[in-house]
Amino acid sequence: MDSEKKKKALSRSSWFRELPEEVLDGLVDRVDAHVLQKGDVLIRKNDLGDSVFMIYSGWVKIVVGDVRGEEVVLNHLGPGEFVGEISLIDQRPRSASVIALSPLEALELKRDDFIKILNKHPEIALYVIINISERMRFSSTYVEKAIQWSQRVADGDYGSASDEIQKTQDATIVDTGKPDDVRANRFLSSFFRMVEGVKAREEKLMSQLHQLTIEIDQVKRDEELDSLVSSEFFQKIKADTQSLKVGRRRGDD
Amino acid sequence: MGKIVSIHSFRGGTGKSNTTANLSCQAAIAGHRVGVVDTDIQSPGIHVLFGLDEGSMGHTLNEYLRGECSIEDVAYSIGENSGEAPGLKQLAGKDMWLIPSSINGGEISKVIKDGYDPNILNQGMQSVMKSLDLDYLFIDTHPGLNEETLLSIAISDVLIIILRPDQQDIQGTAVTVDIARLLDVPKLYLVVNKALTRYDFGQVAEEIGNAYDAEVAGVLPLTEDMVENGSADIFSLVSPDHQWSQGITGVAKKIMGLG
Repeated sequence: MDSEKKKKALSRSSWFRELPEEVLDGLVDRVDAHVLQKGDVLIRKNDLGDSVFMIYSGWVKIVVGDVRGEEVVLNHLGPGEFVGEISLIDQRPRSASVIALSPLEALELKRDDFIKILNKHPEIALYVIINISERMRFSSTYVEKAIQWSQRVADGDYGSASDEIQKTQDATIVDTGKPDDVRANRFLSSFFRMVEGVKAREEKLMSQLHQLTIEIDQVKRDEELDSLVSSEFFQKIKADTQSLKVGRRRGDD
Repeated sequence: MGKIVSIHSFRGGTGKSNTTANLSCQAAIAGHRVGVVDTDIQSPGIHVLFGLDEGSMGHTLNEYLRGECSIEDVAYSIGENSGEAPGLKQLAGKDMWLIPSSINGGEISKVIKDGYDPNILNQGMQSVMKSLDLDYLFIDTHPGLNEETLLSIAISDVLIIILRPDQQDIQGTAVTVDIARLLDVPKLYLVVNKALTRYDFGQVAEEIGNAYDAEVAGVLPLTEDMVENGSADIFSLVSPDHQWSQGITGVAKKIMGLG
């Protein structure tokens, strides 16, 4: 990626677009260009990270793993967006993985260089804060939607969840132009595909409930019968049965 | 010749008294001469369904068993005392009698303490069959397999065993079926009561029938409507189109040789 392209990328990014041209010229030498193919990992969750990436072209997905190790998509981000800003600021391990959804060109800025430029141009902080605020706002929507989906599943309302999944089955990139709630629903739908498994399991259980199981303990049955039959009273009744019935018939004549 | 129909269950709570009352009323409505004996002396209950209370009861089976009156004195005409309840009033003029057990606490504890001679009970039943010229005498028995129950099974022409589709009833019923066979009961029917409506009733009938190698005369649903009816009045007469009533009518037809 040549210097011109890098400068163009920086000049249209939300953090740096207000910087004077000469500052951008200085920054161009500080950023490293990365070119990735679809499926390549840009950031791996839990890695130590001291840089932020700016997407020049292409799209990435932000993902975490669920308890079974399956991927849960938190967001899709494209040209002009930053990724990895959380570790840049709090210096803790990466909170999620970032994977290319398409061929990708991105620029990497190290923390030291970021701090230097921040010291000289503190107004950048405001743009960073605005950017992080937008992400937080989206996270809130995402959590809210996740709770709504969970409630539907908990209520056994698999129908609407399934419909949503059906609608978004072929969705690929969910661009940032759409409202937060629509985007959150799209990402969650892939996770709530598990609903289909829940539904199938419940149906199986229900069908087992519909079947009455008849189990007779034959040993117990024989023991109880033996103890009854061996009683004196039973023996007498058994002996008298014939005469009881015959007696009635005779009496009836 | 009249027939003795015993209704039995291995445990309490199967709906035995209710079933007995409804079966006997179906037979009476069909024009038969019908008697009902409450031999559940320890915990009588069928009288409530016929609208009787302690005041209206008159003589009881307990007095007959002690030799204080004849069994005919105990027989209470339902046809002449049918009352105004929507189901029971349909029995007005029918040839139907109830032989109730006492519901007096003292009488009940006396019988539990002293017991009674099952043979006297048997003689009483034979006597009332003849004197009232009954086509059917229905016996509501005490749950379980005690001496009186064994006797009522032994003298039955038809034995109806009621069970709920649960494990304890299924196990206990097996022994009762064995006993009935050893005592040469001519006709044995199983009635499954309080079946959850989500079951496939046809399948339940088939599986229970196969398990005991016996005929299932009916599978009756567990229903809240019955609970609403309370323990008063005869449900199958009040709500004849209800699934439970249709089921009991089917059982009654089998008893009468029509089903």
